[in-house]
Amino acid sequence: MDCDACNNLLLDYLYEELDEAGASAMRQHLQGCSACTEALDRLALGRRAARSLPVLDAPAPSAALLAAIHAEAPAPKLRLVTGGSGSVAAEAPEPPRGKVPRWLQRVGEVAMRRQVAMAAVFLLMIGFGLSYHQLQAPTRPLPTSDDPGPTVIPARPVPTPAAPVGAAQRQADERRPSARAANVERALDHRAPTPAPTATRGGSLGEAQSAAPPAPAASPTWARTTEAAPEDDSMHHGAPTTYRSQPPPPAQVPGSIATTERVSGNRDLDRGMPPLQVDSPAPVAQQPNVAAQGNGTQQWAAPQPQAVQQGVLGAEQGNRLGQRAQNQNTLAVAADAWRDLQQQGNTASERGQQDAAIEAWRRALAANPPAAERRAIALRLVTALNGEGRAAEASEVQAQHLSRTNAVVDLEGQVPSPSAAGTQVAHPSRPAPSRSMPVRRSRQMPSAMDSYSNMAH
Amino acid sequence: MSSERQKDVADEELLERFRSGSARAFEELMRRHQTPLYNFILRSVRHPQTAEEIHQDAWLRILQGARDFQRASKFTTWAYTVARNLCIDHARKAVLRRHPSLEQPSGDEDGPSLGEVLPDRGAAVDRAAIGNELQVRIAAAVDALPAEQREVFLMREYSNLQFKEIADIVGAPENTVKSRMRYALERLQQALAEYEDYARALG
Repeated sequence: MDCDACNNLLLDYLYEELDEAGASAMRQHLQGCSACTEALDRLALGRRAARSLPVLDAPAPSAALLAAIHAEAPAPKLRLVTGGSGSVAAEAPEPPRGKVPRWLQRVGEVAMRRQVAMAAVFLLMIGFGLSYHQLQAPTRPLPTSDDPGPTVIPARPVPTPAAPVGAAQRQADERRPSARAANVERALDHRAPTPAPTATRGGSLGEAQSAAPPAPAASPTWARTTEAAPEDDSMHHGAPTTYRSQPPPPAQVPGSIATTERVSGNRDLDRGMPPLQVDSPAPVAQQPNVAAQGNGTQQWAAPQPQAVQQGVLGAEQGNRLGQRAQNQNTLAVAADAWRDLQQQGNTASERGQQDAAIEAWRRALAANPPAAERRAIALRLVTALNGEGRAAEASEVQAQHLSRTNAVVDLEGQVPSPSAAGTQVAHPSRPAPSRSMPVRRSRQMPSAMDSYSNMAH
Repeated sequence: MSSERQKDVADEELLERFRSGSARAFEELMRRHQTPLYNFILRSVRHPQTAEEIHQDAWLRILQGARDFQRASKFTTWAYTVARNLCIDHARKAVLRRHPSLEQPSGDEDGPSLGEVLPDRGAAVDRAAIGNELQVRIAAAVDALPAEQREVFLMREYSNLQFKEIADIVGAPENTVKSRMRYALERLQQALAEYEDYARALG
């Protein structure tokens, strides 16, 4: 071996890439060649220098890489298992595997097109709209065919009104006893409630008063929401029986006798009947936040935007019809107690008999009127008390019936009125009236909530 | 298929086992080669974070290419080819980003290159890890090597690839590879000699 050959193989020798024969030949040459030995020493020194460098540990493989390893591994395994006899057999099972996804892919591509998505949304909207209208449709005939309760809906504008107007109207109705019956009949014909009674009722006051409801009544929303309160309707339905059995109109029978009779009779009814739930949900309706603090029933009765209410109407209707059948009689009679008392108060007030009016309104409040009416009555009562200089009582009434926090008190069953307290306990399962409350209130006291519900429609 | 048995198995056989569905075979391949491969990448790109990304990417590509791997070829040849190509791609992207070349001398011809001037993080890693003057100098010398010399040196010295295999990887004749290796080793020997002079001067 000469120096050139040795020089060419120095690195192979240094890195031990030579076979044993080549290595021994190199060793022989190097022993007798100082130049080649010196060259090798320089390279060896360079290698020694390189070995002084640290070798850094590789970072751990990322989770994605490890996952990829395990994801990649099984697929070839399948191929091997099936392809033990040869690659042809291995290929065989794959085409069907590939074909199905390809077919599915095409379907998927079509399904993922924008037009398809738009069409689907369009169909959904149509379907939703249809079901929405179907939801409304059955709710109307149901009450009228099974139960005359809702048919009295048109009469609701009559008692509902807040103050003297309602009284005058009631008087007008009672002067013409057939008016209510006519209303009932009319309502049987026109499911949509209000406009007809308004037109026939005639009296200037009555017209002025009921001018408000017809506007919403024309819209289906109004019809629905009024029907949403069959409990109320049942009470209204029951109300005429009281009137018929006790014709003396408070307006015509002045003062004390009629008042005491009515009051005592209604109190008996109050005591004997299952406590009313009419009142308790009302504060809930007025104060949505409070609902969360109530018991389960009241939470259920928590007021919702009308749109939401309508959504659940169909589902709850049957339930409420059954409840109504149970409670109709007692409730209906008792439910009117406050109305008579309210009227008496109104009448007395108009006649300047403030004490009698105050007393009547107090009783009316004690008879669990619905929240809207309660507020109306309480407002008048407070006004009258203030007018009489009984500011302390006025503020008491105000705190009890008009303050917002009152709702909490009601919900917790701490209402001073025994009937109200009883109401809470005994009828936890009658949440329905609360549904009517926002509607009724909206006709009397426009509020933020009303404007919200108006916007919703 | 215990790891003890796998230690005796050739890389190519492990790759074949992985293709048969054994994830552990591939993990054994990684265990064998990830450290030299990572160090090769790290000293090529001289940036730990970039090196880590390229390293993971390289194994991912090896994983994805395992099915098409020809058993006749050597696994390490393929793996280092993948890693080297990734490093070259990275360097090209750096150039495209109009970064000045690290090896272009700044100012006059004899001035230090940018790579020598800039505090590079690869050297920083070494300094932090070792704190040894000799190692710092050697590391600087390795970093200062021309890329074609450095990659050959790294593959031969740290990855223990034979010159013929390195020639396959870099696509150059084996003699060219050897001469590059020789230059690299002589440069390192110079750095070592300079250090020894320096150490002797310190007394």
